[in-house]
Amino acid sequence: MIHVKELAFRYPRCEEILHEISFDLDSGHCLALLGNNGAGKSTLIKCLNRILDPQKGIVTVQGQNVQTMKRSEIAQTIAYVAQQSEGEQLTVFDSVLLGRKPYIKMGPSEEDLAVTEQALERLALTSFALRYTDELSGGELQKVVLARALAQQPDVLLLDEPTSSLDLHNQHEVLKVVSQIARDDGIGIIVIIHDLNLALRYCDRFLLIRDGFVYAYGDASVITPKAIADVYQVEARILDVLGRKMVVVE
Amino acid sequence: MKTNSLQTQQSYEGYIRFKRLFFIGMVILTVVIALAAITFGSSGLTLRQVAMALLGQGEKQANIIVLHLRLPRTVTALVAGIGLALVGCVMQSILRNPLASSSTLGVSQGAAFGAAFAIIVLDAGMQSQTLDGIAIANPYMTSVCAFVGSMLSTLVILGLSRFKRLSPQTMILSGVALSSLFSGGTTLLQYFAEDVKVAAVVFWTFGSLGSTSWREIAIMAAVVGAAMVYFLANRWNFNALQSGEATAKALGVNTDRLLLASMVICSLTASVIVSYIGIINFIGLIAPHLMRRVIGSDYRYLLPASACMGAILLLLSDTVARLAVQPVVLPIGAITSFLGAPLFLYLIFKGGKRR
Repeated sequence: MIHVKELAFRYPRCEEILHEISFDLDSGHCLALLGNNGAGKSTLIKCLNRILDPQKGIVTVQGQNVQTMKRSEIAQTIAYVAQQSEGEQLTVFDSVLLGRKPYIKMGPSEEDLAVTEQALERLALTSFALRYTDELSGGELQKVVLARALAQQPDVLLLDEPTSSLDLHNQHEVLKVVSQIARDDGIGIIVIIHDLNLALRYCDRFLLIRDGFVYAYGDASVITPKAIADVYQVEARILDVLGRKMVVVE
Repeated sequence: MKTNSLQTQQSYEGYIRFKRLFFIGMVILTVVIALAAITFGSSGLTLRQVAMALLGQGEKQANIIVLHLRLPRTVTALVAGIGLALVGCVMQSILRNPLASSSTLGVSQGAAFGAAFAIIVLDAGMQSQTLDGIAIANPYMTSVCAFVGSMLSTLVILGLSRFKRLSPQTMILSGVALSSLFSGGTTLLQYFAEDVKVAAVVFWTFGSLGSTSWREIAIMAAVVGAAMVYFLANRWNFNALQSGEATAKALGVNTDRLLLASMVICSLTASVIVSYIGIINFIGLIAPHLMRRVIGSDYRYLLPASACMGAILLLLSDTVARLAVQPVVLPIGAITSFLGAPLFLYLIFKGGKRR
């Protein structure tokens, strides 16, 4: 569904930081984007929906070239959740309703309100609907931005470290919802994640980035001690615990 | 599930109804205060006399006072208050800084420098002293130079942001630097000027709502009206911008275009207002803050509510300026600062209750 071919990016007057990135992701799958700090993961997902404009390469979603789409069309196709979610002085309902912005002409339609309500229900936010987002906890806020992304009704959902500021309970809760969205809605999800065990538990595709190049791409079999050593410069073992693959750092 | 959904929808509709009613209340309050501003004055006209004059059936003296003095003054306060509040509201959004207003980017200081240049160097200075203060001999030249000065500041900031790709925070810092530069320039001009010209410059910087002609008011209204249309058309984009630039782009907002166009329109609007009525501080800063405390930052409602609050604050300030030490009219710029600063401090320490 999303097809990325030979994508390259450099910031103005800087060296190239993404080199010939290519991969495909089918709908209903959840891809973990892995790599050490500074590898170019955040830059890569920002290039996929043209928050940043790549200098080379092609990104297509459902056969449509993202480079030739209008911003509002991209927003109807690809949703993005930033690394740092910022609480606005908007109610939870209005914040999620913003996800309908690419569809709204003059004011929100009945359909926009209905989709917003569904997104709120999906993430168990209905009881928070009229609270202001700057009064929410980190976990609640993360659910709000996820609900907003769902309200965009995208084909692809990009998540930049959605669990980085969450406690253990919320990390699992958010990723459970994310993997469920991929399965139930047939959305392709690309999520940047640092915890390899969380990635192995909730994702089924793995893209390892090293120094702006694709190091490996595939199913869980690409997560090997050698790959971990090469990408993260740490020695690790892969264990089988209760039928699950687990990474234990030496 | 269905019951929950229905309850959410009903609660949300109730919440939206409150915001709409609040806005309607603000419009009514603005009209009432505007009528009060026309009615109250040192000449002791009764409400009936004022009403008759407004309907074109008043006595000659009442007609002169109401239609030629108080009405243009009140309309100026309405238009300028709306314009300054809208500019402050939008600048706080696009620069993502609660302290942003036309003076933050050096627009006011640029205008003051332009006015000082016109009065001191181009001899548009003092002519006579009246009860209202000191008249500027060539107000058109002063306004044009003030406009050029404020736009100069704007163009420097926009140029830097265009070619150096400044962040909103850096734009504010650049504005502070430019403000300092223009203030220094104004001081130097005053240092070498004659006393009478220095007095004229000081008088101009006090601000005045009583010296605008209907033609000038029409120009201000056209600019403020066009700005309002653009800002309201982008209300969803300003909402999206609250979540950060990357999120706004991901929601379909062309952030570069929005930032550039909003900056140009804000600066142009502020420049036109400042060049006609002088430097009026605090309205652009405080009106959006007051409304944010009550109705939150949903720009669908914040923009029109702030516009009404800006008009109300300027009308009240002008009424105080006219009535406090009758028949002397106190400088409006001083009154807005005098009332605005404690109100701002109160907001900071006490806060408000949003609905």
